Amino acid sequence: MDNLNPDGGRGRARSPEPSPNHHPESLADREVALNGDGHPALAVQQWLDGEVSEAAARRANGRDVELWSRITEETERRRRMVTPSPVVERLMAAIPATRPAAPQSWWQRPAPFNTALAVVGGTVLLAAGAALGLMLR
Amino acid sequence: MHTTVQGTTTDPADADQQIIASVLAGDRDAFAVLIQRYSDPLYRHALGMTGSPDVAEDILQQSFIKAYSHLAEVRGRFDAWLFRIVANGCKDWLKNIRRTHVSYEEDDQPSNYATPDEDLDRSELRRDLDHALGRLAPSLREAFVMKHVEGRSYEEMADLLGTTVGALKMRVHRAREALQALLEEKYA
Repeated sequence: MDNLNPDGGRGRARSPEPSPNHHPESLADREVALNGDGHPALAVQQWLDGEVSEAAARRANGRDVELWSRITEETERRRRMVTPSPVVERLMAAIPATRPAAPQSWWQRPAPFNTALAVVGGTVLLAAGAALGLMLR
Repeated sequence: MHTTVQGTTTDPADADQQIIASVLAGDRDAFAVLIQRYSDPLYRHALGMTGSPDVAEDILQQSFIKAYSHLAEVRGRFDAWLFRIVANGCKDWLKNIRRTHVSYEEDDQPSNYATPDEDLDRSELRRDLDHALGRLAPSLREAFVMKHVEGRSYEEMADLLGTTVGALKMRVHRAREALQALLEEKYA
């Protein structure tokens, strides 16, 4: 059976997550600003980033908070999804039977060769030869 | 996060390096530990980015094969290296195909909703959210999925994507604005 809560409930707090710098005492000042001159859309963004409380965001724009609560519910459901067991088995079965190749230094790797490279190389050599000829005159 | 094995504390990165050493020494089956350890978050990422369980599985399969074949080239954290392989696989897929419809309906997660009406309401939101996510630019979708579906911090995202916290905040904000514009008429 698929594990719906693979981290055993120890995972990151569900969005909106609290910021490490989140202090309730400083939040109060910000709440006042958001209710007054703050941009309502910005308040919702800050709430989603865990920078202000839901109450402050609701006061600024309750309609958007409602919409994002629903979206967050759905994204949290997706966060609990795990790889279906048959997929994990197929992933392992697809791994080559041979041992991974050892790393090679650039001088040990086979040099790529194609017509375009040969033409460019020839042109460079001709130009170098012509330049050398001019210098020796 | 650290794990304790027989009274000693092991850093996950060190544990990964030990497994990698075993695999490189010829123990192919040890690679299964890495698959078990990282398949869930990577599957969620691929599913969130592509919206298709089949495509997510394909990307994961190709990514693990690539990781196995190039295992000797791992420098630094294996999980971050593996994440970049999967993330690039998702972006390549998005470049090659324009999705008109994405769906989570094929998932086999049981429903926890109380009534059939609530169930119907939520499956409609799922579908609409998938559709809206499918209309976001890949970079915005990636940022939104990592933040809201995978529940990562901005710092962790910046570490994995090699960009700044400020740039990622901007992407997430823009993704939210775009999603809200697409969904608010029906749901707000």
